[in-house]
Amino acid sequence: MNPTDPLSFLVPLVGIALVLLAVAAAGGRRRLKLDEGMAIRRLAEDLPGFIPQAMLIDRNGDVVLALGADGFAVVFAAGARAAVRRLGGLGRIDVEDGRLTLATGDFTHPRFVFTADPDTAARWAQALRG
Amino acid sequence: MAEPWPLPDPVALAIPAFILLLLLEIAVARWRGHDAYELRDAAASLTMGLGNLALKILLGGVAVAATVAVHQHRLFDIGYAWWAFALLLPLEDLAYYWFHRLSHEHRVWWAAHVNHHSSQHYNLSTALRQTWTGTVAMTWIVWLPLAWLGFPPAMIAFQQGISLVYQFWIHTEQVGRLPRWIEAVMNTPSHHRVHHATNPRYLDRNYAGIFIVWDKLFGTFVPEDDAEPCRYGIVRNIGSFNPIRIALHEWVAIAADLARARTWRERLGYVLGPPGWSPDGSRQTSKQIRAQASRTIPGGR
Repeated sequence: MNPTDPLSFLVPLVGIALVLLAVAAAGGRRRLKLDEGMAIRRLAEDLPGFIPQAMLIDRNGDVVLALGADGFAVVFAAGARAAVRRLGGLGRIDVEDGRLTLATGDFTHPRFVFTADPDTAARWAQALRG
Repeated sequence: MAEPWPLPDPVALAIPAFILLLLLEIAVARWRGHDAYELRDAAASLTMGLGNLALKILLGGVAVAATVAVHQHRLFDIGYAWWAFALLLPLEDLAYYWFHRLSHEHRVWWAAHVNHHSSQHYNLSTALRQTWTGTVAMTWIVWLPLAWLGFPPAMIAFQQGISLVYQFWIHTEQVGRLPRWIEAVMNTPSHHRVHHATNPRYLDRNYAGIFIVWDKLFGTFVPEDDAEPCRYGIVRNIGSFNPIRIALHEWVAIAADLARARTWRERLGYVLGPPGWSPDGSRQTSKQIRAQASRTIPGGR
């Protein structure tokens, strides 16, 4: 790569634009909507041994909070895929009008937001605070 | 011993072909109804690739200077003979195998390499999800013995480029198995899918660059099993498309562990131990995950 040749930068940049346009045109904007079955499967794969006893499924299907025998875990949509975090050392827990916000202190996911009916959100906030 | 002709940069020459192959793969995946690409994931991968190019321009001189310095003390004057290119092909590939294996087995190098595995998709854009911190982590030292043997630094850089270009096309699910003799010798899409998978039996396997024979020789080869489809990503998927988080998340995790460490044994373990090492055994290394799976899943080696 020659840093003095503008084509060295132009070709990759134009190429990236073309590829992203093609991905968008091919339906690359899908977003996973989580449900209970998906969350259970994902927990079994990523946290073997974690048996969910209760779950809070976000109203938008973006994130699921699961209570297990030895703590909490979160399953969250990352585009068309899902990822899992075991929750430990939680920071601030806020609940307002059915919006439950957890500060995790995790560099990759500093917070999770759940929307639910206000009573349910308040109950889970209480459980998280121990 | 000047270059008899200026050696080209294989990666720069291949960029138009990379773009065409990406467009072809997107079209084929769409036609087959495969869920291969996702906009934010592809954008993150391509941004990582672009950042890698920029950082090579900014910092690559460090590795070049070290290679030239070692070459001053070479054992042999190898020069640019045709046989030197032929000999360097397997030797550079052996260096790549060990660079790659060490990058998976020691956390300080894993921190530089993990971003390449951080996509939960497996497509040609994943090939371009390259490191931003490899130069700083000094992963280039693995290639220095080649300069010490006497291979000219420009020739080593050229062969590294050839290896990188070869490894582009194997990042795809659109190519199944190749003829048996090719699968026996070469690194192929099938072998490399295994490398990118997090299924316990596939973890930390198939480190090869061009020739899969190194994995067979050093006992790290596992064939793809149609009965166990690959699940791509890392053991603890980051679930983020932010290039900064992708590039730095393991470094941040190391820093957090070091801040908590109480002894020098713990500090060394967190930096030089395998990813997943912890003093109290509360996390799992790849070896432990494989061992646990082999106890609980039949055939889960």
